[in-house]
Amino acid sequence: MVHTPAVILLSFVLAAGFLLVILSCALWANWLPLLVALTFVLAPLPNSICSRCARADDISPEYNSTYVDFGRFVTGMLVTTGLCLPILLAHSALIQPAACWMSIAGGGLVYGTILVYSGWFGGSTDDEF
Amino acid sequence: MALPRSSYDPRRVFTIAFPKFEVGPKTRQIGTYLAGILFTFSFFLLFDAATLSSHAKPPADSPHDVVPVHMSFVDWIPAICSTVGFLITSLLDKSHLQSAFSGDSWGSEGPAAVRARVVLFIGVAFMAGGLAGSLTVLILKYIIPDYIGYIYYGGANVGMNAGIMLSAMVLWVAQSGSDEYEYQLTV
Repeated sequence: MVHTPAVILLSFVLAAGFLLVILSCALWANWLPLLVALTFVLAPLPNSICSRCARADDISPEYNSTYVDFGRFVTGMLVTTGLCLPILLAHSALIQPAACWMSIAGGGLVYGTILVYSGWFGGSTDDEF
Repeated sequence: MALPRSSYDPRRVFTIAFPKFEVGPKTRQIGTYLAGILFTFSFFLLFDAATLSSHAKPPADSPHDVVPVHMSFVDWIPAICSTVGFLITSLLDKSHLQSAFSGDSWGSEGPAAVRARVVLFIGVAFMAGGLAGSLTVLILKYIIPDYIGYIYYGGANVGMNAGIMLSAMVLWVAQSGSDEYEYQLTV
């Protein structure tokens, strides 16, 4: 109940992020920057999937954190893709520079929202160890 | 006169031991993220050059000229070599290598240690070959024919291969530390 204003604020930020990304596509009728939103939405997935994978054999003494490390590597890859892809497109004059900055800002807002949400509310419901 | 070293092992060949990095779990986490970021960033350098080349237009004052040089498959061969080398070095089990180089009583001459050394050599050779190949492409394809405006293609290629090598180094150092989970479970 205490968290209700935070949830509302976060959902506003998420909507603003998607608005920026979609506006960056629609203003110039060029839908390439939508890939950025897709990348940033996918970015938190590898960490969660890989932590589940690693937790599955928690019992065995020879624990190896290969899954977790691989998830972190893929997360770094996806976030960098989301940052670099609009710059690449703008550099080759496939999209406008304004669309590039708008899609980066929008993608960053979406990713930040997902991170903050999982940091505030994901930890309490998760049964870690 | 020479003083005896504190940890003297008569089977050791080199004076300087193989460096053994000890990093905590936090550094391991940050290093893994950093390696992924570097890897993707270097790939995007090459992708950027390729996209520029594929959308290159002749100069505005002479619109009927052809663009003198494009990126072709030759530019991608060093990148392929570097990526293969990165995968080989990253997939190598570091514990075999540590036992191979630190001179443990068992494992120093075992078949696993020998194989680990050979695999490490092949992986690093692939990466160094990729870097050398990208330099070759830069010099032979872009500098010697004097394509002034197109040196960025070759430079991005060199930067990409150097970035892959740097990423492999960061990942190596980050992965050689102990991980937190192992510690928690043994305690």
